[in-house]
Amino acid sequence: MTSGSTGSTGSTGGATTEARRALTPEAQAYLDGVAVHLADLQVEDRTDLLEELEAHLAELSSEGDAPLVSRLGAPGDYAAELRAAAGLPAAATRSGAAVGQLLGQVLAHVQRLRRRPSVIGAATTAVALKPVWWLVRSWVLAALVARVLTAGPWSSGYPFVPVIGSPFGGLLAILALLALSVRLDRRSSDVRTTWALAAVDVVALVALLPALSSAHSSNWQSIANAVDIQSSAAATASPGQGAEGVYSGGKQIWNVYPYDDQGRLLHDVRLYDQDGGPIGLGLAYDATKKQTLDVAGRPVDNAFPYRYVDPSSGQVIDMNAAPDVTAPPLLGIQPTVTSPASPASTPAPTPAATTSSSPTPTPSTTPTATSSGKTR
Amino acid sequence: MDTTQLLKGVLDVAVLAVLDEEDGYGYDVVRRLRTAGLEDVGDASVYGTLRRLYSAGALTSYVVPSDEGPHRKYYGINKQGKATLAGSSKTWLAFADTMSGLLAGAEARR
Repeated sequence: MTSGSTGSTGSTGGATTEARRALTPEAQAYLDGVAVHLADLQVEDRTDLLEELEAHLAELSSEGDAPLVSRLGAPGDYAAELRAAAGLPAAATRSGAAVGQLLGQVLAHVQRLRRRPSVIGAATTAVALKPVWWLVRSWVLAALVARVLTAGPWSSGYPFVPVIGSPFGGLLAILALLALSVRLDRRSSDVRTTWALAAVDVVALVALLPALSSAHSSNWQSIANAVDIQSSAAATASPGQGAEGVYSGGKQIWNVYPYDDQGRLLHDVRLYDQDGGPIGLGLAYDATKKQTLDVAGRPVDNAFPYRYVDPSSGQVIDMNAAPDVTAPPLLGIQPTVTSPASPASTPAPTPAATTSSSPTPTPSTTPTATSSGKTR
Repeated sequence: MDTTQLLKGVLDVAVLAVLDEEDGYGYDVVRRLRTAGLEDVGDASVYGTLRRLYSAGALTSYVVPSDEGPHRKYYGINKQGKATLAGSSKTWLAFADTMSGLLAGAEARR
């Protein structure tokens, strides 16, 4: 069979890759459609047939606007006719595998569907939407990379931007993948590339929903945090979030001034929440604020009130500075409960038989009183 | 009678005859066959036939760059192809003669 054909070779390889004009989306889709039906052929046969078809499609689409399908028939039919005329085995008979036959049936069914005008219209739309899918695919793949590289793959500042090193790195990765998609699409007559891209598409499709949901919840969470902090009066910022701070009635709180039951300003009162966590105000470092340390030398953020220092001397400007508040003494209930039993009570002999409504400074037995006066 | 059925048997010799006039690329061969009167010839059939004749050693091929699109693969007939064409032509002409005589008789009786 291979005899003769003197000087018949010609440079059919490599030469066709240069100076190739991009096919119209319709022609590219048609070429891809035929390629699927030639996938089981020998590489050489397949490549030669598809290269000729590509040239053919390019010439046809430069001739007029008539749909390729009406001119050439469905890609599946075209492939079948091509195989028959070329003396190549009909599709799927060579492999004989059940999977191959099933695939063939599915493809044939798709082919039948494709002949319907509505489906042809939808297919044209799908082809036009291809760049959109490229963008989505690039985004999902970048998100996957970000997911592999870092635990929290989403930028908090820019919604839906995956972090690869930085949000900028994520954007760069998306752009690079997009460029690759465009480049690969140009040469998708190579069947191996087509199949590899199909595999990537499957991965991207599978990962699309998790990625969207992850990005959405991350995005939603940071918004929710901001709203939560602002609406809740005594809320503390959750750790690790960018926007911190405590708000009350829509106003941010910069300092807390505790007073005891007798209306005396307290110093260095340490506040804890229901879980025993220190309650700070989530403020950024401020050189004018006095740094409070515990005995181990660790900075303490939850000792109130914060005191301000003169930046030049480092001295607290006014130890008793406080907003102008009047805190009348409370109706104390402690003496009736604590004075008979508490050993820590003052030796004052006056039994507090009545709930002291008098403004007289009956010595308080509450622990807060003992902590008052200790200033640093 | 469906000419596509007839075409199947004679497409090889038709393609060889067209290329015997002048070398051509796939679409060029399709157009020349249609111009000659074989209007029902399918694009895929022609490309497939070219491929098969080339694999069988009846054709040469070479690539010609094109300014406005992908390169074109031209086919030309070689010695073996010419021999095939000569043999097939003889067979076809004899067959056509036979058929013509047969059908002319039938026509005359009508």
